[in-house]
Parts: sequence; C-alpha cells; structure tokens
Amino acid sequence: MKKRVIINISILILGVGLYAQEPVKRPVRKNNFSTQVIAGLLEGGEGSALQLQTINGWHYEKWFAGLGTGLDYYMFRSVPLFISVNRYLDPGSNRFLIQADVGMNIPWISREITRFNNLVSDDFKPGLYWNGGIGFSAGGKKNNLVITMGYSYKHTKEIQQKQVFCINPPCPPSVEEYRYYLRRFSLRVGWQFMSRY
Amino acid sequence: MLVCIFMLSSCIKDKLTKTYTIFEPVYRDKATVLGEIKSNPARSIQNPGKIYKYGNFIFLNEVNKGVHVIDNSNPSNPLIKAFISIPGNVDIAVKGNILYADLYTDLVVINISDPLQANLVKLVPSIFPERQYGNGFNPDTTKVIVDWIQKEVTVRISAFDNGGLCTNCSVLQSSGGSGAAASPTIGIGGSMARFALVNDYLYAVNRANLQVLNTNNPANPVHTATRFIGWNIETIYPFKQKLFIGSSTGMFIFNINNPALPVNEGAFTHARACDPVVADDNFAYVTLRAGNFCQGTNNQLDIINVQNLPSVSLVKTYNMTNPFGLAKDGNLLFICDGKDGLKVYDSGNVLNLQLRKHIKGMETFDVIAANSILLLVAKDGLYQYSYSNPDNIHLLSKITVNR
Repeated sequence: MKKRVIINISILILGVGLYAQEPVKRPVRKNNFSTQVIAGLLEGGEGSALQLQTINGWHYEKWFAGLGTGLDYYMFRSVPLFISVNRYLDPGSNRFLIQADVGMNIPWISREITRFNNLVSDDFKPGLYWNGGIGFSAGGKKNNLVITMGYSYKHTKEIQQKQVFCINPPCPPSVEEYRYYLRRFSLRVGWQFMSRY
Repeated sequence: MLVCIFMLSSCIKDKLTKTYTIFEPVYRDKATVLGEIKSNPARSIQNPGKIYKYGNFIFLNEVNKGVHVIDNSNPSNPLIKAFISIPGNVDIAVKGNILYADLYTDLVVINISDPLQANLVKLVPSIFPERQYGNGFNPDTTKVIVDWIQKEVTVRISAFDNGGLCTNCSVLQSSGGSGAAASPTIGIGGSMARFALVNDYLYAVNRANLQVLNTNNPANPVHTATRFIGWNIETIYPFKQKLFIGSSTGMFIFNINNPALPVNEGAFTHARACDPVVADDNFAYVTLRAGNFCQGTNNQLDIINVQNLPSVSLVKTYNMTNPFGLAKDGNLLFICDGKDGLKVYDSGNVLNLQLRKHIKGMETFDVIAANSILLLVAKDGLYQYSYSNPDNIHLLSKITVNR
C-alpha cells in the first residue's frame, strides 16, 4: 500500500511539473484583492462528489489569505466556512503554490422523518473542515487559472432521537449519536480574478 | 491528475461511529422475586406509569418496577404509604381486595385487603406472551429481569447504516392501568389501560389478543378465552356491555353480553396513530397521536357515533397537539395533550366542543375523572384537581417525581 501511495504521488508531482514547464515572468503582486471561483472533485471511500467554492481575500507578495465558502456534496451536502492561506513558491505568473484551508463544516441536510425510521428529531451539528494541497497557478495579470490537488477533511455530528415501542408514557426517546469523519482527495480547478486595491 | 485522484482514493477510508445506549439485564431468582411481592416501605416516584383508583387508595405504577400505594383519604394531602415490588409491571387493576398486575408474561394476584400488608396470592403464567424479552435476553423460567444497567457504547459503522438499529428495545413496555367500570367493588383506571375489569371478568389486551379471565373468585382468576383482535392493540376501555379497544389502526368495539366470549361488534378505522379511547352511550372519543412509535402524522381527537352498531361513523375531528389519555365525566371531557398540558372541554354538543380550561406547564399522559376529583399523571408528578365547580377547576395536590 505504501509503495502504491508513493508511486501515485510521484506521478502527480511529475504531472504538475510537466504542466508548469514554461514559466512566464510577471511582477510580484502586492495588495491585490482577489476572488477565486472554484469547482472541484472530491474522491474518497464513499465515491465521487462535487464541490463548489469561492474564496475572497488579498495577495501580499508571495502570500494570499482570504475567507472561503461553498458547497460540498461528499456523502451529504454541507457548507464549509473557512480561512484560506496560499503560499506561492516563486514570483512568476506560472507558479507552484501550497494551500491550506481550515474552518467549519456546516451541514445543510435534513433527514426525512418517516413512519419507517421512528425519528422524533434529527439534528446535524457543525464540525471541523480543513483542506491542504499543492497546486499551480497560471495566467496573466488579472486572471489566473488555479489548479490544486490535496487532501480534505470534514466532520459532522448527527443526533437522532427515536421513539421505540412504548405505549406506557412517559416514553423517553432513544438518543443515538453519529459522528462522520470524512476524508477525501480533492482536485480543484478555479479561476482567479484580481484587482488592485 | 484525475487518474491519480481515483487511484489514491482507495487508500483513504471514512470513519463513521455510532454512540448509543444499551441496557444490560440484572437477573434475580424468580422465587426470590415472588417472595418480595408484598408491601415494602414507601419510595419516591421516579417513572410514573398508569394509575388506578380504588376507594381511598391510588395505585400508581412505577414503570417496570412495581406499584406505589398512595393513601388518598385527603386528596389535598395524598401520602405514599407503600411500594409493591413487581418487576416488569406496567398494568394494574383492582377488584375487591385483589390487585391484578402483570409481571412480564405472567399475571400476579395480590391480596390488598390491607394495602399496607399486601401479599402474593397467585401467579397465572403466560397471559402476556409478547412480554417475553427478546434482543438476546432470554431468561429461563427460574429467572426474572429486575433491573437494567445503562451503558454508552460507541461502534464503527458503515456509511448510511444509521437508520435501523433500535436501541432501548430491550425495554419492551406494554400494559398499564385499567378501564372504568361501574361495579362498586371495582376500581377505576385510566384510558391508557390494557386491563379492564367488568363484573366477574378481567379483560386484558396484549399486542394482538384479548385475554379473558374469570374473576368470580377474585383471588383465583381463571383464564377462559383468548380472542384475536388484530395487531398493535394498545388500550381497552369498558363501558356498560361494551369494550372499546384502541389499536394503532383503529378502534374495535366488542360486545360482552356473554362476558366469557366477547364478540366483535364494530370497528372504526383511522390513519395510523396511537389511540386511547373513552366512550359514553352515544359517542366514542379517540385521541390519535403521532410522532412516535405509533407512527402516522395525526394529532387529533376523533368523535365517533356508536349509537347504531355495528355501523359507526366519524362525527367530527378536532386538532390537538400530541394527545395521550383522556377521561369523561358527565359533559366534561378531559384530554391529556402531552406537552400542551391538560385541556378540559364541555362536550354537551359534540359538533362544537367548548374549551373550558387549559392548564399548561406540564407534560400530561393519563387521567382519571371521578367524584369531582381529577387524577392526572404527568411527566413531573401525580396531580389532583377538583372540578366540582367546572368554572373553578383548581389544584388540590401534587406528588412530585424524584428522578
């Protein structure tokens, strides 16, 4: 298994490297406001899912920091709300970057209360969201294509109250707590709009 | 990159856990348990179940534990005098000096000529076969489950395996108090009851059947018949020569002109819900409750015309919040509406019930109305109200639950 992971990561790095072979020099960005609109694929043990994000923030030299949100459809729909930090590895227009996001995962889901599941109430609680990855940014002065690949995690707690057979009230509901620790690889493709601030 | 993503995804796994409560049974030797069925020192009420009123005494079920004996000579100051330990008990009925109670699958007969010196007279086995514990707990005939130890358990589960497991199922509860009746030697029960005493017969419903026991000799009840009714039977209410039986899908009316062999005389089908029922000469009053094991989506009071049996017809439906037991005395109709408290209606005109009093601030379950005293079981205690003046229904006393 370890061997397979190493081989896969090598292929990935090689792939990104090949894509990035013709660097175009561009002045270092300073204090640029930027908006990223991102679509991505999440791939994990539960299969594939779509993610959509927007990140808004400022560039300062080799750094970018912003606030992000979006939609994450892996296993269940949720809204991540996070701080995103990018570190660019070289000053050119086409450059590698390291990305880290951390924040909250806010579930946007409701389970149907039916006669078959005996649910009295169902409550999803927010949990941790984080994402880490490497990527490549390519483009001109105002707009860039940003491709990143990484590892993403979201957590949620669900509390179900169920009624079990009981005709002799008071009938306290049975409480079940579910915790979801969801780990996925993420491939994101975004378009970055920048304006001087 | 896409290929890499797909290849790598098999290396990572999601983790899903489920935390739930399990109950481990505590067994005791059956001979010891039967030996302890007597009046023990009074104890506080923790989980009140069904109620039964007999003379100056109130018998209040402590769910799955036994029966509190409450001296109610002064309704303004009821006193808990004793506790009769009966594991698995949820239903009670009293005739003369005899208390009938369920002990899981069995019926126990207890002499209460002096309620403070109660003692076991007889055990009738296997009257309630559905009360046999499942879920892997199958005590042999020499053992009885007397308690449960609660434990939190966390297990890993697969994705979406989060809808079907049934925790707490180990506590299978069924029966409770008893139905109203006219004989002076018979007590009065609430509408949630699964026992009903009529003259010389004790009728008890289980999940599917009506059990008939001859109590001509109260201390020596004899099981005489079992009548299949249908599934998910919940409550029984006697009125004159009729038994009104509530199930999760409807109400059945049995004629007991021949008390040893009740005959099904009519039925009213409704949407799936739990439905205690009370009745008078002309109408049956059925509360439908949703949002629990009873399933369904209806929370309402149905008034059903039962004057021309076997033909029955719905007269009117009134919306409720989450109704449980109900009681009727004269034109006053008392409805336990769960978290919405107690509602008192004037039912003189069934087409236009008039709300006379709405007592909020408690979660109500069952009620007995007799002799101008209302006995009310709520989540937080046993209440007594005077309704001698319907315009001035007021609290007489409360025994608070001590959880």
